[in-house]
Amino acid sequence: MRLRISTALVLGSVLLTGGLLAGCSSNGNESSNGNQANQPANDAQQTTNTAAEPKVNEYGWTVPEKTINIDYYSADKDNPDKSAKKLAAIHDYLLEQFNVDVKKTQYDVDGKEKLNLMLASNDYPGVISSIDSDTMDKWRSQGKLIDLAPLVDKYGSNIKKELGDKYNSYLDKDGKLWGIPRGWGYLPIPDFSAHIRWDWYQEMGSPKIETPEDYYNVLKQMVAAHPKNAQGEKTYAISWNDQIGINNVMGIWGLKDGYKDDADHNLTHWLKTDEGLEAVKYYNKFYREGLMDPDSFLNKYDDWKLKFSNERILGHIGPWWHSWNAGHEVWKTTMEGWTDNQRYVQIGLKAPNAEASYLSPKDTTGWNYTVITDKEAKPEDIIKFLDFEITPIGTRLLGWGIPNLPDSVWNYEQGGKWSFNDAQKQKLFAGTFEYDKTDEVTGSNQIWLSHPQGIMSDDNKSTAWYDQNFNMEDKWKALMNTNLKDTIYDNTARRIVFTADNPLTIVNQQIEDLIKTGFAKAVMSKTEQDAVNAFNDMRDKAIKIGLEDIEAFRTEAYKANLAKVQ
Amino acid sequence: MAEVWKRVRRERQIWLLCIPMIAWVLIFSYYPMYGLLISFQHYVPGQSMFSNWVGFDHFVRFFNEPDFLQIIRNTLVISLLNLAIGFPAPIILALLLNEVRGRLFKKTIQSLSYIPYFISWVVVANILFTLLGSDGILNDMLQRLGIIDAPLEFLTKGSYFWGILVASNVWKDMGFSAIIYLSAIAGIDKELYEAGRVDGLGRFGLIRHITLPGIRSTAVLLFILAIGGILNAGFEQQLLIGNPLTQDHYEVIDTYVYRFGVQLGNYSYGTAVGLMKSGIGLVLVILANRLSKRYMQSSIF
Repeated sequence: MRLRISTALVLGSVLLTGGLLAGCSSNGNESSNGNQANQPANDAQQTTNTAAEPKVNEYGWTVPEKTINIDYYSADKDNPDKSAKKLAAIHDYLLEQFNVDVKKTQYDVDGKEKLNLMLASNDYPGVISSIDSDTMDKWRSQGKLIDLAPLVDKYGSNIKKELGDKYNSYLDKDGKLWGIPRGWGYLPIPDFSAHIRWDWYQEMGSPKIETPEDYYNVLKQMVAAHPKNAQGEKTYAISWNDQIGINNVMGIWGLKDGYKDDADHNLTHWLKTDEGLEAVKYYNKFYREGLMDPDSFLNKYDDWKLKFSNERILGHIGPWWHSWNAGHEVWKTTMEGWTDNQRYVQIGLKAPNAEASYLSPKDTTGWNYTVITDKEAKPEDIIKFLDFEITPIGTRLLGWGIPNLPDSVWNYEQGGKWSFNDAQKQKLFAGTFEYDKTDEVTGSNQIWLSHPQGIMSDDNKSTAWYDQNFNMEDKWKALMNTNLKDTIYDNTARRIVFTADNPLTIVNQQIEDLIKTGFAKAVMSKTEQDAVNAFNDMRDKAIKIGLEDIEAFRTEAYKANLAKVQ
Repeated sequence: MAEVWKRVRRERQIWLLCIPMIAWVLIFSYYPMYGLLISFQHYVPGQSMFSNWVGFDHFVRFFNEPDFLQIIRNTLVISLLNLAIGFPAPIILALLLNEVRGRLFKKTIQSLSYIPYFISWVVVANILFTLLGSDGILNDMLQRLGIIDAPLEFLTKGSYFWGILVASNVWKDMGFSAIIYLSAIAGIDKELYEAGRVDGLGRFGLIRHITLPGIRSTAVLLFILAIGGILNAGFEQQLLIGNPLTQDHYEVIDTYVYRFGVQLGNYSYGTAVGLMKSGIGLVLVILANRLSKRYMQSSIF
């Protein structure tokens, strides 16, 4: 009996411990064996290559006999199931028409954290996209990335052609290229604006709105005319949400991305300028007069959207699409007897003393990069595909998705002739275009490795963002673009990277936190003097933390970038 | 040594049963601790764990941060309030529940009291916004009753933040923590109560002289553990309920580590601050244990 108990105990312990240890075991060996197992298979496949005439498909792509595998991780955070669903159609299309098998992995986690984990565990794929400059540099310094310059020299003539003079700006001081930019190029469409409720503005006789003061007066009158919404709730002239950048707002007072740029390109932070104080006083006036939503700095975008679509917030200064998404796009489906004029129109504001209104800074470098790691067996194949993707036709295919289907947004004929699908275009104008459905059916912009978002080189007007191709044909978009055309500017030279090992990175974050808190407190001060005191207090604290070091660092980087561009 | 080995052999069946748990603790609690080394380095993911030594630089840097005093103040105030209110609250609830005579009523109250424990902080934050927002139920009620003219800024005023946070912590955890005390009360010999009644003790007398001494060792154990966690002032509740206007009242060590360590990729710095917090926690546990041993003759080790 005693023996049986002991045996059972020993067995139980061994099983539990074994199970525990098995759960902890690394699968690194398995994957490494897997790769090795694939290798001979690939080699064997290679030996069966025949010397048949290469097939060129309708897009001008030479279809390889052996399937090109692009297995990449996209560091953009997204739902993996949703991402896989939207990738399926374009994956199949590319496999069939191009003999290219694209496998994209995406997670609903912070991409930077995931990349750090990949780096620490040495478990990463051959291609990574959406990697920022700082992280790319970290990977490069550890020898994990391949220098792409020789490959681009050999297989990337289109990459060089499309990037043009900018190509050299992506090379490091040794002439090495560590990443191909994605979403690069200049797209002169606005991002940020003031918004005016069009039907009520018309009812008021469309008084002139050019300055912040004009806007304040119109909104004040509008609130007086509509003090309560349909549910009897109090209305406000203006609010705020977590997607509004203070630096963008400062553009109204002539500051570029939150900084004053003097003739010698020395940068001064808005906290140290009269313009910054004016902006704080402007919002504070709304607050003091009960015209500002008291939950302004508490609102997440969705909270704000609910209030806005319920007509509780009558004005807005923020990204242009806010009032589309929370305004007429909602009202169309919820408001009985909705008319086309019941919407917001985007307008520019410029303070009287500002030389211009700088609302929409544009960085033409691109959002981030696609890199090839040391685990990629055939980097030349990847470059060949990126070289195709960056061409105008490649951009159209990957940007607009599969053509010639009933739900496609474009049609393509052999020989390079293409046209937009008129039915989809009309849906877009009517506001009934189904973005998610189109993404799933055509895979538009689901694979974005190297193509630009700026205007395409062959016609100087198309862009990979399908819905931005008809801005001047759509009445309301045309009105917005006309109103805001002078507020867009090239801000590429102001690009700066705060690396994790730079002590100023923490200082920068501390100042941003201070501003987030301090701006809200100053705006929500009971008197103007309190607002001024709060502003001064915030400025003094920021200087104590190291604001002037940040200014100096930014100025230095700015001047260096300008020298590179010139 | 021979004596120890002899004892182990004698108790081998118990030791065999413990092997999986010991392995579990070693693998998941002790093995990862080698990662603490990075708090003395300038660690870059992917590089060796034994290079770029910087000594105590990260610790010094934290002490020199302009927000250091504010972060420590918030952490201590929130923790002490949690301890002062959150520690006796479940004891009181357990004592009250123990006095309830109707079995069904008692069970119902007990179940209802620990349900909040299972509600996530995301939901709690939404409940608070609905309740305390400027358009919230409370403001609406106070305005309708004519008590206030304009909404009170419960969620955007730093001075309210600590109270709201501690109240929601107590509301959430009180019922669940009371279960432990209820089980300790259930373990008290019923004959002691009989004897107390014979000696003329009333309800309060029974609580004071029998129930409270009966749960003292449980309370001391939980108190010592709570002291160890005094720098754990919360994390997700701060991030979910807090906003820019209350940041100078909500930023605690854990939120600071998350924002400046993890989010900015400054892992060494984040680990150093976390290690410092754990070190202080360990010292406090030892101190509390000693004091308890000396003055209450009860301790956990």
